[in-house]
Amino acid sequence: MAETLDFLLPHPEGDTQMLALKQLTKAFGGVRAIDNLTVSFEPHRVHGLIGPNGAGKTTLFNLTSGTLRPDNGEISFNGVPITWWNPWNIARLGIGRTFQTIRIFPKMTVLQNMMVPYGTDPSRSVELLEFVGLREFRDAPARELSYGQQKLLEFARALVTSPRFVLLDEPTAGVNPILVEKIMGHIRNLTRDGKTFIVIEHDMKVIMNLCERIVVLHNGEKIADGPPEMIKTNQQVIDAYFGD
Amino acid sequence: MARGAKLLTLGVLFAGLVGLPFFLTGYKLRFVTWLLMWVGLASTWNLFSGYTGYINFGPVAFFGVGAYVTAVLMVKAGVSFFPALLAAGVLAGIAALLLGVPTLRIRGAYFAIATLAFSEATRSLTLNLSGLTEGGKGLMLPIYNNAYFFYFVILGLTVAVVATVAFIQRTRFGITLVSIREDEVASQVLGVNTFLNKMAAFGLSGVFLALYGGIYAYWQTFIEPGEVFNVLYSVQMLVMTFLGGSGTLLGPIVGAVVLGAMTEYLWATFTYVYLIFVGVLIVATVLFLPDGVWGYCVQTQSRRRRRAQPAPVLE
Repeated sequence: MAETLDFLLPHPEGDTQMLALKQLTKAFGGVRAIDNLTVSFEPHRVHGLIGPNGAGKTTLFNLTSGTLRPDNGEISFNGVPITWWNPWNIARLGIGRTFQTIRIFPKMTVLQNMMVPYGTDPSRSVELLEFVGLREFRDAPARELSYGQQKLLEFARALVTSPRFVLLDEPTAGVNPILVEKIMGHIRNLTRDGKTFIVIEHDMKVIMNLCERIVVLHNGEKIADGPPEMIKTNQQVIDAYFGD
Repeated sequence: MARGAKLLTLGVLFAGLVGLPFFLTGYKLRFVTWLLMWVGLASTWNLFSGYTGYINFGPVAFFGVGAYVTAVLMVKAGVSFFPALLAAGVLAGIAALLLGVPTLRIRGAYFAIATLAFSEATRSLTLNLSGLTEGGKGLMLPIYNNAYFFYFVILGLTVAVVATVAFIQRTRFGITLVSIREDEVASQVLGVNTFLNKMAAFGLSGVFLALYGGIYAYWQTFIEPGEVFNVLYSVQMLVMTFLGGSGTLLGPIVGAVVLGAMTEYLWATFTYVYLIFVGVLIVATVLFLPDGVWGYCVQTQSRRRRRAQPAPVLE
């Protein structure tokens, strides 16, 4: 598949944002899950997205992938406004994602799960299944896999079309430590090959190890944004997690 | 089963079905024709609802539209049967697409209610467009008294329907439809245009239903709105599919044959209480065989096959 390299070129305005959210707001009833949020993410990096429960992390993913509509604000990807696009068109633009609560196709076999993505590649499917250690289960219904294996299947499925930009919602929850290392290595390799990630994760070891830049959300607002060392010592972040 | 054995079975079955009418007469031939029609109707219902999980509670709307378009064209415009039938298929396809635009955005019970309402609305409309349809008086079609003709036309259409479903199952389109049933949102973020896929399956099922309606009208020679828009026909397609196993190729066929033969036997034996038995059968299926008779067989078979392989070590 021909990969366009235009995102490697300097942006006309001289800044290198790939995904940009501008004054984004989404409320559920009276709760503002995302509150006037402006943040952008640069190409070929692993971004961490952290924050206490209910901070709006998953809502940010849902808005970006088009499964939720914002009340206000704009989302653009490589300069293309995608705020009102259908989820499938956003996916075809090269934004892939996984879900916090696993969303595999339970009655389909493992291999059939890999065949659903638009533009899927059979040989790459098998390769990825091999990588996450699910190749021998390829003909088993996906619902018969363990929780961790289902998580891995979802990870593999999100990568089978080689999206340029991947949103991972707690990819390592419930996965055994050895495999977590392997997945982290894979994410690093893919980043070196030019892919971009945003990872939501509660395991701080994973986040601090993996990410070059961390964005911290609290009550739908960005309270900190910077390299891991900076986030670790940020007083606002500590307050958000442990209360004042 | 090996490929050769499968083809042989299919060949024998097909030869049997082609030869069958020449050994049957009158009532028995009519029953077999009727059964073949229901195999096709259940398979058509399964083609959309069984695979996508969108329960269409008003498929009879397209059956009825097909019957009336064919009848009106033949009676009022003097068109001959096959061109009229073709027009009915095209029109029902367009109707299905128009209905799909608003309704395929809603899910679950809401979709079921919307389609049920649509089928009742078309019945009402047919009843009230009396200038065209003669309303409640019904329409009398030209009589064509040839049982073999109807048997073979219905057989041909049913073979076409089953072959279409078998083909779809092997294509990406089939996988896409199942992914919509399993988790529509997940399917969308993987780049699947779920709306277009649902529309295609819905439109196709509308066309097939209308073709059955048109043939049925010519076969029965008399139709009226209460009959060809009968809600119970919708229910029967649904029950047959679930009894056999929805979302499988053979499920609706098994379900139609079992339920069709059973109702016929029970009706002949216990004319006044046969519905009680049918009801018990449906409840038992839902409780003990939620995947249907055929669905159950398929699952046990695949589990046994996987168990026969050396067991992979789970983490």
